[in-house]
This record gives sequence, C-alpha cells and structure tokens, in this order.
Amino acid sequence: MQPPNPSPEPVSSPAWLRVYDRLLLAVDTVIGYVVTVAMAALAFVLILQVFFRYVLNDSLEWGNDVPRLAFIMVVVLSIPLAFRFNGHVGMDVDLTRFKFISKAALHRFNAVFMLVLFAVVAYYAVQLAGKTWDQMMPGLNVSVGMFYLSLAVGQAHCCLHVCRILITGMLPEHDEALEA
Amino acid sequence: MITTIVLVFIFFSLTGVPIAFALGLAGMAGILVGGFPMVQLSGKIVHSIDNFPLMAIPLFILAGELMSRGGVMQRVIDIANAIVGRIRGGLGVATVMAAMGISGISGTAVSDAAALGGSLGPALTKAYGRSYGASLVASASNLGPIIPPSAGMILYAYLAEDVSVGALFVSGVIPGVILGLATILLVLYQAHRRQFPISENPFDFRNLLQALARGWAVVLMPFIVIGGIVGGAFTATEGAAIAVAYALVLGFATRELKLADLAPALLKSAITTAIVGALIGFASQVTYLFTAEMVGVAIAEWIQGLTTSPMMFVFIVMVLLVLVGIPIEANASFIMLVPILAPIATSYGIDPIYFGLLFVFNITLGGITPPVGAQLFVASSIWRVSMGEMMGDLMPFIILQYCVMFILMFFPAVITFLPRLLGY
Repeated sequence: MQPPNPSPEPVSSPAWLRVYDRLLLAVDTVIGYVVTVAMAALAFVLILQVFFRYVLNDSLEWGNDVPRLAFIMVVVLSIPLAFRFNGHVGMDVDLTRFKFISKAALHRFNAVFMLVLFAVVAYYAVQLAGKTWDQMMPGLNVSVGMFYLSLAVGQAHCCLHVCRILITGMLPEHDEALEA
Repeated sequence: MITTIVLVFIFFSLTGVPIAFALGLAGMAGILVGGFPMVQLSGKIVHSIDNFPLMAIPLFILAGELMSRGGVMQRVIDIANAIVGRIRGGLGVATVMAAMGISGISGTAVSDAAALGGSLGPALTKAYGRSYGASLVASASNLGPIIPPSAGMILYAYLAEDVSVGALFVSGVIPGVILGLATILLVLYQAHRRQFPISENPFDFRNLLQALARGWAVVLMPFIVIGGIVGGAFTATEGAAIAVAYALVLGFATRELKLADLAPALLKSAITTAIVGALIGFASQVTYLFTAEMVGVAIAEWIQGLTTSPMMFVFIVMVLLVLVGIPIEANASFIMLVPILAPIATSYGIDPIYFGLLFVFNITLGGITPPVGAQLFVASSIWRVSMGEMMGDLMPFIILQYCVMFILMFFPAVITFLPRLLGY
C-alpha cells in the first residue's frame, strides 16, 4: 500500500511541527492499513456469502455481521484520511475576495468549529461504546460497541488533522490522484 | 430551530467548511436549540451508515477501480474503436461508445472519466486538441451514473425508500442510450463543421472480431450483474460483490491485474466511500430534526399551494436541481434533497421510478457544470487545461444533455417502459 502523501509543510516550519506531521503521517499510515484490511474483509466476506448462498445453498452465520462491522469501520476511519487529500466536498465560494478576510484566518475559524464538532461526536461515541459494550452482534461474538469505538477513533483522528489546520492556517493540497 | 439549522448550514458552507461537516454543525445547533440530547449526534451517524444496501456503493466503486487498474477497460475501448472505423470524428464517436460500455462496469462518472481520459487522452488531444478532448470525456462520462450500475441510484433508493435499486437501474437503460446517441450526433455534427480529421483505421471485420474475442468477457459482466439484480436473483449488494469477484478473476486471468494493484484500489475505494458516508452520517441528525418538525410536510403544502399539476411540480424540481447542481456536489445534493422532495413527489401521485431517474439524471449533469463538477476536475487535471479554457467546447455538451433531460421529462413512458415490462 502506498502511504498517503505527507502534508504540505513550509520549508521553515518549526521542529515541533515537523514532529507533529511525522506523527500524523504515522497515524494516517496505520489507519490506512486498517481501512485496507476492512475493505478487503467487506468484499471478501460478501463474495463468500454469495458463494455459500447460491452455490452451496447455505448461509454463513457471521456473513452479515462481518461486512456490517467492516463497512462502518471503512467509512468512519476513512473520513480523516480524506482530510489528508482535501477530498471532502464543499461549496466553491471564495470569501477571501473580501480584503478584510485572510485565507489563514478563515481556515482557522472553520477549524475551531470542526474541532468542536469532532470532539463532541468522539466524546459521545465513547459513551455509547461503553453503554453498548455488553451487547453482542447476532452472528458474531463481537460487541456492538465496536461501531461506536471506531467512530470515536475516526473522530479523534479528524481532530488531529483539524488541529494542523488550526496551527498552520493551511489546508492540505487537493490530491488529484484521488480524483483520477 | 429549523431557521437556526438552515442558517448555520448556509453560514459554514459559505465559509468553506466541507458540506458534510457543515451539516454536522447545523445538526449540533439544532440539538442545542431544540433541547435534544447531544448523544443523538453520534448515535445517528452510526445508525445511518449501518445499512446493508449501502454496501453496494464501495463494492461497485472497487469493481470499477480493479477493472481500470488492470487495464481491462481498455478492451471495451478497443471494441468501440473497432466498431466505428474510418469516419470524420470517429475517435470522438468511439469515445462516447466506450463510455457507454464502461458505464455498465463502474458505478460512478468520476471513475469513467479517469478511465477514458487515461486511455484515450493522448489520441483525443492529437486529433481534436486538449480542450475538446477534455470536454468530450467529461461529458461522455456522465453516462456512467445513468446507465446501470450507478452509485447515485443506490443512494437515491436508500434515501427515498419508495423505489427499488433494481427498478432504477432498469429505468436508466433507455435514457442512457438516448443520451449516448444524442452525444454521438453532436460529435458528428461538430466533426463535420470543424473539419475534424478522419480516424486513421478503416473498418475491418477481422479487427472487430479480434477486439470482441479479447473483450467479450468484460462486455458480458454488466449483463450478468445487472441482469441478476433486475431479475431478482440477487440483491444490489450481492450483485456488487459478484462484480468485484468478476473483476478480480478477469484481471488475474488476463494477467493485467497485479497483486500490487489490490491495496491501492481498496484504499482509494474506501476513501471515496467515506466522502459519501460522511455526508450520510452527518446529515442524519438534520434529516431527523426536519422529520420531527415536519418540514417536508410544510414544504409539500407550500408547493401544492403554488401548483396542483404534477408536471409543473417536476418542472420546478428540475429547475431547482439545475440551480443546486451548479454550486453543490452530486452526493451532497442527493443527501440534502431526496428525503424532502421524494415524498412530495409521491404525494403528487408521480411515479417514483420516473421521478427518481430524472433526479439522478439531473444531479449527474451537475458533474460537468462549473465550479464544482467532479468530472470537470478529473478531465482538467488529466489534460492540464483550466475549466475556463474548456467552457467553449463544453457548453454545447452541457446544453445538449440538459435538453435531453427536459425532453425525457415530458415523455415518462421512455423512462418507465422497461421497468414496467420487467414487472416493477
């Protein structure tokens, strides 16, 4: 797997920011591997389930729960990875045409609110994980709390990306490779 | 509360917060103003994504990605080239035909644009110039979400709840072919007017047979997958899983797909899915609050006060979607508008298949209108040409595609004929 591109970093960036970027890249790479495995599991188990159902006239007991868990993990853990590629879609309105609004200030302003959103979602996801931890999935001996735990991890990871925007006032480069 | 939600959403969208998170912030504001428990926010994100039919989206994206990376899609393009032969604008016609073929394999316009641009880019640039090549590929790739399978149709069916994915898939076949033929006619007309070069290879039946021998298995795939879904043999998610298995077998059997291609394809499919998933998840709280406050009913009553004519309602919606499609990305438009507009269409007695297909068709066309057309981003990045430079060549395609859509609007039978024939 290709690790995601490192964030754009000014040549004169302070040492602690370089450390932060290395940490962020490491987290992105680890989560990238987890997501790749989850996506592979989603596809593999669904293919297997189709084979069992239509060829062997049988059904896997865990054939619905593994894809369910994998799909939720794929979505909630990949949301921060899309940050690195600046892949999340937004409206194309350039407020920095107004002279009194600077790009860095606008990015920082947005980052503060996104940070609050992600922190709130992560906090309550942890609470929900705790409350549902003793509930098991019907066909798999794994807690339903895993869904919420994945969400909490994903949102905490989003916080790391948004903190970088808050510190630098810069968005990552839009990665054309993701589009193409 | 609703005013707060709308204002917060508009404010953050304008300041540049991604739409998914602007919706999340709007939902959070709604919870605060309405006095709901904040824990709802996290719960609804997971509940909205925990949906079996939605799993078809990453799998169709993955199937297209595997076909594209393995070079298998090139075989479809070769067949299109072999059919067209030596005519003026032949390469352009082959591009549209290839887009129609590829549409049956992948579920998104963006992946079609990338596949077509990557394969035909240099030849199109040599024959017609960069701007026309980019405009043609961006426009032709719009066939992707209209000819099944289509991630947009899966998303619509999930959000509308009153129409099946299979019915929408079938309804897209005839409009997709009409749009393809209309685009071919426009290419031929422009080729004649602008004296485009005549394509180099004359029609040769042996060439065509060779191309078919190499590519028949790829062409067969949509018939098996879509046929199975439409025939009720398996669900859309199972069909998508079969498409992935088919792409893997085909890729490895032809030795065009390598093990090293798998991980990047999986990761890219996951990230693309997450962009849609974030929209679904963060919009869920807003959708819930809108439902609780009966916003849909209020809008329905307001529109019904304006007109009682179903056709006029459809016309108003189509104009609204054209306007919305210009500044807002396709998936965001689906998530914000389908839960509100689909039930209103039902209250007018409008066929959900007809309305659903027109909705998907319209939102898809937004992919080639600046400033946020996804296919435009892909084409402009492959050809290294700015959107401004493309506008002259792109405009006839945009006008043509919207004309086709409005004509289809007045002939519902063109959309519903095939689904009715198959018992939907």
